[in-house]
Amino acid sequence: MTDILTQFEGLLKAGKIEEAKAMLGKLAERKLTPEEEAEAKVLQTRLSIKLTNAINKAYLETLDASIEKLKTLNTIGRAFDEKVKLAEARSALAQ
Amino acid sequence: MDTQAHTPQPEAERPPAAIEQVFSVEEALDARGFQAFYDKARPDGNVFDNPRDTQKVFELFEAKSKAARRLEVSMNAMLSGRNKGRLSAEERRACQTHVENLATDDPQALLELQNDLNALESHPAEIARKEAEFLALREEHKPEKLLSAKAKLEAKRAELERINEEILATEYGLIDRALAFIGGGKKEEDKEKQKATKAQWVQITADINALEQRMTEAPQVVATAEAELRKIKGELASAQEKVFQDHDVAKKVHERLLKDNLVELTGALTSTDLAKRQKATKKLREESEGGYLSGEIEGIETSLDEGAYEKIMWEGGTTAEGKRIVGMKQLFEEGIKKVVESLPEDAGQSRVLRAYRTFMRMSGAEHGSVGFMDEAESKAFILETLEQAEEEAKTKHAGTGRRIYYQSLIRHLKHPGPITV
Repeated sequence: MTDILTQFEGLLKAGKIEEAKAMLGKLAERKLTPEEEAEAKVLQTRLSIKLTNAINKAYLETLDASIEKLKTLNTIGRAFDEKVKLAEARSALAQ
Repeated sequence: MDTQAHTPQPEAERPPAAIEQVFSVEEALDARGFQAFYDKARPDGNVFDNPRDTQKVFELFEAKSKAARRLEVSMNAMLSGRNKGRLSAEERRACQTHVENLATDDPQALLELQNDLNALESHPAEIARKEAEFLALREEHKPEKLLSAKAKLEAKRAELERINEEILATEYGLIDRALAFIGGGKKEEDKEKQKATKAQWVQITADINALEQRMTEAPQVVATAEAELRKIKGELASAQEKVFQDHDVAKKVHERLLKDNLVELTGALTSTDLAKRQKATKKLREESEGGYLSGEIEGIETSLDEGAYEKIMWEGGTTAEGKRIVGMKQLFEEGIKKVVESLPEDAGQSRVLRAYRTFMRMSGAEHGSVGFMDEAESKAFILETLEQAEEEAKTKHAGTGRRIYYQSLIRHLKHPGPITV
């Protein structure tokens, strides 16, 4: 089982999540002792952590990109607000 | 005078003072489990020969102990859907052994695990912070806010147009013309004013156009971002479901969780303690609405103790998988009927619909199937069970209205949404 753990960690490290998942699947086909079953659950957790992190990372990247876009629009907005104030001041002077 | 005391010792003979000040081999050996760990990490090593190396091993030992605890917490949360110390002794041992193996055989992998755990733990706070920032920005680009800014500008433009009209309409008399001739007077002033007004008008018109562009772009940016974020959130739920439901080991975990949840929830739901019951109902509602776990049914095992559950789960069918499926089917069939039968005779539509949502979730329409069939098969199975129960209720519960509960559930499962005439 230890060899399997090492192999599994190797796959995770290389980002080969699908292969790691397939390996876990094959492991499940064997008749497992209670100890092995517990180890398989540890592997499941490791896989789940990898997946969760990958997806959270994608979520954060999307949030960052969206925030950036809205900030750009906001910059236009701020420049625009300043122009409005300037126009109001000029108009008051003209009158 | 003892000159020897002032003679600097050669570099090689100096004791490793820096190490001994902060690290003591003896103290390290007091740490529970370190001796065994050292033995595993350095099968041929002598703990006293090279204190610097012993310190390294000790640091690894401490790192692995922390990582093992953190992995246990994650494992617990991921396996049970919530952090409640549900891991069995075997699972905890497996967790510790796993991390220990990483530490002794591949310290780099231990580092990787630490990084993964750091990310796992820090992401939620980072996501919450950025979501708040995104929401605040979205608020600033609300159409109402932009429309109000546009209305202000348009009013300003109309005012400028009015001023311009007034200037154009001014009649200049003789005195004005004379004053203009000598370089002063109203006409020249008006010319300047008109020029300034025109410049402002051009600028405000350009700004209104920019604002209109912003009004078109902002909702698109927000909508695209929100759709993308929703999609990723969905992927997370589905990826986690897959990890925990795709194969036999996962299914066994899932079944154990199902059983744990049922025992805990229904025990609380049938409790005479009102607070306990309310808490359980709230929890059930939360899980029905957003949890990853699927399959809990109110009242499902009120008559099944753990032994009976195991029996029914594993004794049906002929093959192992067949036994499991038949067992699960029997369990759910029984559960579905129990849910409806446990509803009080005067139960309103909302109670029935709550049960309906549980079935929907079980059938796979909301959060994945019960785990022993695909979504369509699962839904068909629940429908069949409900129809059969409705038929039975005609005689078994004649005049009680239970048959109508079944009809209501069947209708919602077949045609979600209100029926109007």
